[in-house]
Amino acid sequence: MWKKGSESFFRGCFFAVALLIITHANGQEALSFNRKKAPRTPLHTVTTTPAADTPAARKPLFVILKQLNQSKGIYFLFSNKAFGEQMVTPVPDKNRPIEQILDNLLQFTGLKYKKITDKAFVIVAAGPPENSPPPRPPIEENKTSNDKNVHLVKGKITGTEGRPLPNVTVLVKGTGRGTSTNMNGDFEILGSNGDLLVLSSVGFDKKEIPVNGGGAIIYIETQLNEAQSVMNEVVVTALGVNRYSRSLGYSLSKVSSEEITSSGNTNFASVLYGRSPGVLVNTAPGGATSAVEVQIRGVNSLNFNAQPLYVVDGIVIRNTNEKGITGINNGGYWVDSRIRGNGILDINPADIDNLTILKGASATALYGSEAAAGVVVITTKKGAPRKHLGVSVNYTNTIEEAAFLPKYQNEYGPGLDRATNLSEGATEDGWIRVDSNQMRPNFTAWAQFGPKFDGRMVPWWDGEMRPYEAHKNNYRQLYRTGFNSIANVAVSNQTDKASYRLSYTRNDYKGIQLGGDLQRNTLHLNSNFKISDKLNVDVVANYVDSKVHNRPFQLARIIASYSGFMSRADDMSVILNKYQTSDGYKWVPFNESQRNPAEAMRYNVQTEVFDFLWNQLRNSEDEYQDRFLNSVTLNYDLNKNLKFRVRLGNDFTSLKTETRNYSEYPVAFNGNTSTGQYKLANGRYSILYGDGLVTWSKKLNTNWHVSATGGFQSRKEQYTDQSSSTTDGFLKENWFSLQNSFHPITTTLDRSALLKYAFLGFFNVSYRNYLFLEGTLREEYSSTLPPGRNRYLYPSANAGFVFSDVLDLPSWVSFGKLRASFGIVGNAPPPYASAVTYSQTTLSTINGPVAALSAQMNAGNNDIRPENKYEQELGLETMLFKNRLGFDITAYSSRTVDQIIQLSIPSSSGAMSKLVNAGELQNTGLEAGINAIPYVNKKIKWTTRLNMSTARSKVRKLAPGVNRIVFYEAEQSAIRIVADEGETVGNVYVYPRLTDESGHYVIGENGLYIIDNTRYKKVGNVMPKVTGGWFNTINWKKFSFDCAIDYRFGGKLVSPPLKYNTGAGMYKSTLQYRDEAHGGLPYYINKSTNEKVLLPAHQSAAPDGGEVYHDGVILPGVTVNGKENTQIIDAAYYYTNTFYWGASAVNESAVVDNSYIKLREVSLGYELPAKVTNKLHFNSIRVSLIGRNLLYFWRTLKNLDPEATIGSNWIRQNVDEGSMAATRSFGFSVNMDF
Amino acid sequence: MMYNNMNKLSVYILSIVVLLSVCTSSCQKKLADLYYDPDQTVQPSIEQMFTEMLSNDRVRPSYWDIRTFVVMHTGIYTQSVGYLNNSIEYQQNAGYTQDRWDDFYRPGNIDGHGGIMAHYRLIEQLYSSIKDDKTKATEEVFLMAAKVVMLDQASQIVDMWGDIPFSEAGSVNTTGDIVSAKFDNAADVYNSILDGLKTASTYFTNLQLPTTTQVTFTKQDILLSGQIEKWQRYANSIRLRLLMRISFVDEQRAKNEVLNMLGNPSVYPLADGATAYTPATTDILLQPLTTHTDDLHLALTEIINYSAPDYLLNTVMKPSGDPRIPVLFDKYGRTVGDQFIPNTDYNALPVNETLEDQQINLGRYAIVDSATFLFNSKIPGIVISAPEVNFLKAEAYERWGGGDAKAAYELAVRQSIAFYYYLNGLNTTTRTPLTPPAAAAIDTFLQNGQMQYTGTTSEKLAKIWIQKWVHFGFLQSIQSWSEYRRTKYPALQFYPSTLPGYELPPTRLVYPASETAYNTNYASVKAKDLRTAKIFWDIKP
Repeated sequence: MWKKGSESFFRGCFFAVALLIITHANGQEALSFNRKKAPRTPLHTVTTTPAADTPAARKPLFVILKQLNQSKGIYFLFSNKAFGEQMVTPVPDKNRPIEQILDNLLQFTGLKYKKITDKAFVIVAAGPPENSPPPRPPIEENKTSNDKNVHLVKGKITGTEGRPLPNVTVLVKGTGRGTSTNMNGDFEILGSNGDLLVLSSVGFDKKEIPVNGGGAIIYIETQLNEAQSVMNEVVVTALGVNRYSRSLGYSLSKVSSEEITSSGNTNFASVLYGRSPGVLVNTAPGGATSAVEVQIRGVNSLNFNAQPLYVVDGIVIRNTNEKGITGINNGGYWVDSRIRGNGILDINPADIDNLTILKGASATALYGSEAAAGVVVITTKKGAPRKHLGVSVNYTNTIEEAAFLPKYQNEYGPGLDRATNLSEGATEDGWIRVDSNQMRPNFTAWAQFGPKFDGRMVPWWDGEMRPYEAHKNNYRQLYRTGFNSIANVAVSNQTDKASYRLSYTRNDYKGIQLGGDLQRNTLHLNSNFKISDKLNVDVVANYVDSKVHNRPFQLARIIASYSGFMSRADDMSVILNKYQTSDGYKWVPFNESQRNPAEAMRYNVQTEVFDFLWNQLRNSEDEYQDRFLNSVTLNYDLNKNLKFRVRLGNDFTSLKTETRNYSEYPVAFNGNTSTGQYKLANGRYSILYGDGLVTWSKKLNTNWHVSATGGFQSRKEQYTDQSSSTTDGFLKENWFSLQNSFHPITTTLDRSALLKYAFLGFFNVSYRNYLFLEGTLREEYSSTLPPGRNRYLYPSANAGFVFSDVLDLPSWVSFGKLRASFGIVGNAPPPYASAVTYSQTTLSTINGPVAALSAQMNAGNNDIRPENKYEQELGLETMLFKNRLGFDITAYSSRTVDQIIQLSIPSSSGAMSKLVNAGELQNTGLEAGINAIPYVNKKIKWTTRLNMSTARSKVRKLAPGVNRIVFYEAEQSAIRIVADEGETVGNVYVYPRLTDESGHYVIGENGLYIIDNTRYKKVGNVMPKVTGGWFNTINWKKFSFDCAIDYRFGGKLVSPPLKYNTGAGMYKSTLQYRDEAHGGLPYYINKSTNEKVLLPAHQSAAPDGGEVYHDGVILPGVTVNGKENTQIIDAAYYYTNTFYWGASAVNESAVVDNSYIKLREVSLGYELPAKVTNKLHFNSIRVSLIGRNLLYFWRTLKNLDPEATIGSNWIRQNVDEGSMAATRSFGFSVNMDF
Repeated sequence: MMYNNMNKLSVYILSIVVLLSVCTSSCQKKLADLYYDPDQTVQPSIEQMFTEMLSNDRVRPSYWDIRTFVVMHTGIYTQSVGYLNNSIEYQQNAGYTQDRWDDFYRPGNIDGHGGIMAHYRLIEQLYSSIKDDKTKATEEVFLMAAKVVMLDQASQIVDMWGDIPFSEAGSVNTTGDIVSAKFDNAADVYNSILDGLKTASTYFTNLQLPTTTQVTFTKQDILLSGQIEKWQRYANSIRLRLLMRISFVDEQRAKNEVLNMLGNPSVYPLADGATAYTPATTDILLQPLTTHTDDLHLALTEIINYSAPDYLLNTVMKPSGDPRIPVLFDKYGRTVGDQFIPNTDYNALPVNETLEDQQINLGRYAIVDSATFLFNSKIPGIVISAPEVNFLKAEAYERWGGGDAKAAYELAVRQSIAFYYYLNGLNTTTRTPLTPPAAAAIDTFLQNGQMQYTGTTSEKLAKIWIQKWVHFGFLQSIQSWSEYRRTKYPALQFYPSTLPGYELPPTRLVYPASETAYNTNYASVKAKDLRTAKIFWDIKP
């Protein structure tokens, strides 16, 4: 801050302005109310703010002073160039002394003047109000009651931070007179002494001030307090229509840019955990390149389009649509072994101004089909009014590390149960005899019931002698420390005619899995041009360019497969050394040693980890993506009542994926095929979007305000994927070219297109700004439905009633509103899913080329009807105790009729599935949020928000011929996720263990549980019961602390790998029974009968002098004959068979509770003091320490991350088939403004 | 002013309405166009679907079938391939057997993967919807040929699973209704198949097609290139196979019908190569596509199934000095240091050794022939071959008389030798084909004690069955498994697994999840759905 009179301040930054003396001004014009120009409110703002009129026309200070210079020959200097741009009201009487003129001119500008000489003045900032209270006109005390002279009241209204408040409504109480403030917070109105001015503005507390004063002009300067409520903010609703949240008849959540960027997320969706009631987020493991799935209000569609529609600056963008029916990562490892991303990852969080989530049918009805799963409306940052060019620089850097790994046991090495060990040619313990004096571990044993680690030197598979010991971190070593760096620079400005914000973001990401990384550049421009008073154009352009190298692999083959389980005996450093040979070929298996006798493995091993490393470290799959997201919006105000808006936009992606797989062995060993691959895939995805709206709005009288809008919307999507690759390997090693294909190259083409358009209309009526009614209607046409029945209609209605404005409520109720809404949205199947068609192939046969025609694996249905969701919603919003406490509760229920589903059918009926309208789904739920400011004083402010929501999806009816829908099937049908009529969706059934009448488990002759595969037992439901989050912000002086916690209670996770790993003895929990220390029973084996006989104590000797074992287990239960089970089995036999793949194992063990409370994000920020920042020529500098996914306060899953699932449909989000570890990040961010 | 505004307004509205209506009318057409995938057709065709039924990678020895089905299931159950004694060796892989099942019933999205039943139902439906009698008559040949293919394949599904959805199967493509097909009794399905094959055979007798139909049929028939007579032989041979299959459970019927067939070769011609045998023309073989370049080396090496099977080489072929050994096996050898030490003799991988011993000594055992099997991309799919037909004839003659069993047996063995040398000769890329043994050498071989057609009836039958098993090899492992279960020959020993419930190979496959989960009729067969249950013809102790 500079000091008054400080000469140094003037140095270097002054502008000398030659001024002319002004001529006589026309005083009358200035006094009259200028009604020529209405302030530009956002188009389609259908609020009921009373009509706003501007006070007298203002001009930039510079212009007026220039006139003074011309007329009076006085020179003016500006201490800051921007001061000249301040809009001021010309002083009518230009013959007054210059000091008076300046006083008037600068009255509410925050500026003052300094007289240097008689002919030279400097315009400087007025300094903080507390130091120099603004000059207030003397109040005349002795006003007589008959003083009814009308005065011109001039005022300035600012917010608590001194920011001028535009659009504040100023009404003279008891009269119809009113006005509103301009962009600088100034207003002028005629008033008399004793009048009360009522100041109101959305987002601020209402204030009344008396008019009191003498003279022709009465000056008023006042502040409005911000209302502690989100009720009055402007929110973006469907089709980009701005509305005041108080007027909404449905629930909607808004997330601010601070929340999105505060902890350095690479995408906006991961921020939504728990933030908005009813919104469930699922981030696939793998970091910045992995998809984030969002589910709004429970299961909306049983298999299609479970993802919300994303709308960025009014344009519907691509998310997963290019994948059609299949979605992302829904098919398991063999369909796509890498963890994929989705389209929303390209939306740069740093460019988002705010994000609104439209949940219910009424909120989304205007988007029609595909909005059935909700809509996320994103508005990007615009150029803000600033005094000069604004530049902001943000940098975030976090360290990424693998987190929440399984708790593996480190005591026993590879080996199976004794019988199997012997059967495989090992010793009872699991050692394999190499020669008379050497033993080695069984490297191919899938389980870990072998010999105890003792550190002895043993022959290893690489031919070396190595210690037999546990490498506790070998699984962790499949991961590394990654990083995430986000640098962002944005410049923005606003002038009379235009405003813009241009931002560049660079994101470098190195994920935790070995091998992959990501680089992304985002260029974003949001600009507005005011072409004329009536015509206004918004141009938004985005360019995203990214390169992804080797997306993370699903580690299913290593963590969920018998051929891949890694023993703790494995030394990663040896494996990392051996996955490729010294000359760059693939590792050489023991039975192909001729390929490289020196480096071939000596023994057979668990091969999957080698293949993984070969694929991820040697081979490469590089994705180069260029994406353009553009939109142009034309706003045309024909007159006060009639407005047009036309918008055109596109989302265009060009994707090139280049695969380079290296030769696996020298071509000398080729037979009819070779190895290696070069593949080039090109994708072109385009969405063309357009809409047009005509809005007519009118304030009928002080009570009624109506508006009606009609419009048209259309969208065309086209997806083309084309790829060419070498076939059967390379002719010449490692020459990555299609010319090098061993056999003729393979090319594929995949294309799809869809067109949707709709006619729509909506109207809004409001009464006295407390009763609001909205109705919408949309008639939609979709190319994905059979011709002739591709048209459908959605109506919706909603009402909001701010009862606190009407009822006489206790004073502690600050605000209260009731909402009610009803709406219908529909959904059509994905492109080509319903058409009945045939695929032709040309076969090169002994008869020459012959055409073959095949029907479809997934049968279509030309009789398909769109599904319709009918949803109603009731809500209550309140603010209590002067906005210290607020509640927002919403209850909804929806019915989805004619649910379109790709119904799995027995393949014996001639297809794998058929598209049908399969019945009726009912969703009910409750969403609640509590806001509070538990503590506030001058220095500390603690705000908190607690969200919770429940959602329940139930099948009300199934179509004739369908009695049950099975969504997921595992373990030879022993585990199923199903929907039964009248039941909640997502029930999990398993074949239970057989029990007798009194509920005891029946144990078979082999000492194991008998599985009852004649019936299914319900063991739970995959849908969570309650989800939500708790958010806290504490501000203390310049520090701020944010912490986001989210939780999930109830709901099962189906994870066959957990069962396999238990059976394989991987976890610490499987140490139980293995030895005396872990509760094993002592027994010996009777040599003649080969029976296991229990011994009274571990110290007892076997009667026949044989070996005493300490790993006995007797399962509690009865024998088939009803006697108590006494059969002893060894621990390894118990684990390997009870938790084995398939239906004869105990499959309850693969269905586990998944509840948790997680510390999702923490940030501790510090705002550098203004003194420091100013010295550095910055407006503000903020540094933060940030962390994400730090820890679980509590979780039911011990050996699996609760968020390990991948896939874009709801079933896959509740099924784990082995993905990879979760990522924990921590680091810092710096935000600088100048 | 007001008037002007209104005027302007109506102009705006009018232009918007015009714009919208123009757009709408063109959009409507566009919508209909975009409904269909541009890369698909909406026009079904009997002829082209018939070709799709023939182009079957479960008949051709494809990587997928051998790798996921044969060497993991039927090949092990019959010891037609070598395999390592893992503890899970006899457990059925649910996904892969589901796949095998699916390939019969539902259309695949890749050529060669399926839809025999689905396409047959579509052909049936299209055929019945033909109004014009003349067209109907000419299209009938496609229906009949398709029927033979479907019945042939269906019999294999019965042989593996028992009761199967048959009479109501494949309806979703035709009626569009979701009806769970009932499980038909296996014996009933066999009856339908036998009847159907007889009807087809009768239809093909002396069939003359109009020229245009014949041209189309010749083109689309990628199995037999339109040779009507061969279609008849195909139908009859399969019928003979299946009649013999039920010959223990319904001997009277089998005997009557078989003897009737064998007694009237002019009415019931067989693919037996009775006069002259050339595998390529006599046998019913599905030739690989001319663009096919893949071979079986990965299918057989990935989970180590390339070693010579114990019983086949050590017990049957080596002691008798079988002349097929050089085309069936390579001696192989092991690498020690930089040295490759070739084996001096053909030795098979012992079936009773522990996994560890098997692995360590892998290099000491012979492997399947690299020219004939590992790197041969020209191996045809064997639908039915003359050696099998003659072994079947030999069995019938031996049990019921009516012909010279010895001659049929010896012819079959000679044909089998010729057949494997034919397969070996197909590979022209990796090695020079071996010269087939001279007739004299084969005569000597047939006089070998183990081969000689002497002894009691049961000894003779055993020889027929064992030699038929040799002939099937892993390329026809489903037939091999069926005949092994029916005849109980050869007497194979299996290394017991330690996995409870999976100690030995199954006697049938359990139903795939698609049926247990989605077929509402599954309850009717659930009690029988055991891996130890037996197919109805499996009654020999």
